[in-house]
Amino acid sequence: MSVLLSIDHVCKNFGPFTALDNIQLDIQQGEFIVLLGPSGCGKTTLLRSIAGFMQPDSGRIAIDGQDVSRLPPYRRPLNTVFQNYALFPHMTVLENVAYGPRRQGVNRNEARLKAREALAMVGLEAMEERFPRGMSGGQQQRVALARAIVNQPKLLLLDEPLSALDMKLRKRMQLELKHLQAKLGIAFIFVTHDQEEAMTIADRIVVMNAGRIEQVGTSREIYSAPASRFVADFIGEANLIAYESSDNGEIRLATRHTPLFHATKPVSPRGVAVLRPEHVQVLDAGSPASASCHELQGTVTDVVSVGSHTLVHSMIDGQPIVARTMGLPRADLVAGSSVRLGFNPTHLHLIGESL
Amino acid sequence: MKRTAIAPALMLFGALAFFTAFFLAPFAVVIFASLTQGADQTFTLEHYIRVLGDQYHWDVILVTFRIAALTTLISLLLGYPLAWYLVRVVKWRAWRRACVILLVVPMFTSNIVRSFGWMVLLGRKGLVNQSLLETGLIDTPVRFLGTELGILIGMVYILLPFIVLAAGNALAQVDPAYEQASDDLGASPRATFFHVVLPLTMPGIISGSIMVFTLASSAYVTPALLSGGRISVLSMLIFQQYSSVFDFNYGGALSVVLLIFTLIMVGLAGRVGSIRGSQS
Repeated sequence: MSVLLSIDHVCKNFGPFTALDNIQLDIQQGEFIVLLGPSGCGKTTLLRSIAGFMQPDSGRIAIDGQDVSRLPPYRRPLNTVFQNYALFPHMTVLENVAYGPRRQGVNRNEARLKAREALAMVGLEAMEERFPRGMSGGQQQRVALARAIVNQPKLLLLDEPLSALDMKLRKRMQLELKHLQAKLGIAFIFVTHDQEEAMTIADRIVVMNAGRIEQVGTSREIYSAPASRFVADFIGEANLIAYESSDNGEIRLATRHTPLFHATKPVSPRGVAVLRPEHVQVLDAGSPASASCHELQGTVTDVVSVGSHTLVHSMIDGQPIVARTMGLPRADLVAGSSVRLGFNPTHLHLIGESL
Repeated sequence: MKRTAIAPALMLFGALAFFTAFFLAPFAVVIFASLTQGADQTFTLEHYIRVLGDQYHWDVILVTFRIAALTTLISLLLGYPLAWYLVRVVKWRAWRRACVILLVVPMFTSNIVRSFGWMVLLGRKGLVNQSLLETGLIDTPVRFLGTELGILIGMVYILLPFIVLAAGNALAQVDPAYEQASDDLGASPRATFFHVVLPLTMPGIISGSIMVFTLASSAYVTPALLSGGRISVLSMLIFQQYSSVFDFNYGGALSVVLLIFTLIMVGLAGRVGSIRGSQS
């Protein structure tokens, strides 16, 4: 694997607003990268800077070692799937897809051949004479995809391409995109604000916030070892419990009655401990917690069940803790009742406060 | 229910009555006159035979539509870039508004006044000739008045705003995402213009052109004042028949001929536009 795209110290300001703050990122050949973050975090600005629709204030963007920072979009070896597809309304599906090769100087017949191949890749070969206006969102999405891959770019940029689709179709397209990417072997950079979508499709997720990259890693790394409080909070649900550590490595949590324990590796003296709700057990009344389990006493505040699992919200020493249990809730768990929760300290992930 | 249906019906009736009284009825009178002769109003095609059988009339028809076509073409070539400038280049809103006002305000002035203005400017010793002579671009004054060139200058000046407004409106409605998509797919700015922007603004161009063409082919004041009596267009012949000769039958036939030729031209333009719009 070699570096395909290298983003080096890229900054971009809109007046007083910092959209990109010294972005540094390398993307490998054939990787599926997701830029994830809340709206306004800079992910779309970064994508548009890579595509060339926006000029960074400083920094360098290189593809295959070639600096493309000053190149207009039409000279960059990449293609984009736009958020609202931007299919040309005055062209048929085939003409839309053949547009890329035609502009690259390919003759009419060959361009049509390539366009048909690309349409076959996305399963739309029967629709070539239709106009985009008369097609469903999912079909337009596929046309946009075919149009973007027909030129065989080294890199495909996708700007929230599934956001206009309904839930079911969206889930199916996520898997289809993943398969298509594996088949084509070209690198995808996919922008989304949906963390579940990101975790479904990404090889590596780039979590962004306020113009900065918070963390880069596989969905596993980002979920189990978030690098910052923001990442822990943004990805999935998390109990964030303040902690303090003494000089001898003993950790004390803000939930006062939790026993002390020792950190396995050196940590900052202060920070937050991340505890995922699925690692918190609701203990049966009477039965003692297992030896490795720490026990917490508290009061239930809410019980929310979605059928397949239940979230038990409770208050422990003034600290809200959410536990996730499989299936429907126990009958005695109602708001106001007391509850015993247990967790294994090895599931705690400590994020030191930067000093 | 019943009461709510009365108001729209009344409004519709009002509009229809107005349209019938001031447009359809006079038009019917013109057609009727063009097909009859004498006090007993017997049916005849004599006036049409007189119009179409005379080479002079064919020459006038040719001049009329040549001026209208050239006016449309020149207005388009000047107006589209101007519309582009106003919609795409100007970032400062106040300046854009000022430009649009400059464009529209002359329309509040009578055509007669504006055409007289051009007579002064284009005369042998007018501002245009003076400037050209002083800069040394010409040695002897150019004759504008009484030439098709002079009429063209006046017509383009008066009709340009229609194209700018129509094309500007069309340009403003093109989603920038289409141009970005084209750019992204490897099209140069030039290719993007010809394959994406131009086809997408074609409806605006066609409607603006049809407006200018019909107004130019039926214009009377500007050609009459700038022709200096040397050039005739159909509308001038018609005016003559109605106002000096008082031959309403013959004048009617000329009017109907002008109308039919204009409709044919507009129909052709619409067809050309729709073909280009769907194929490119």
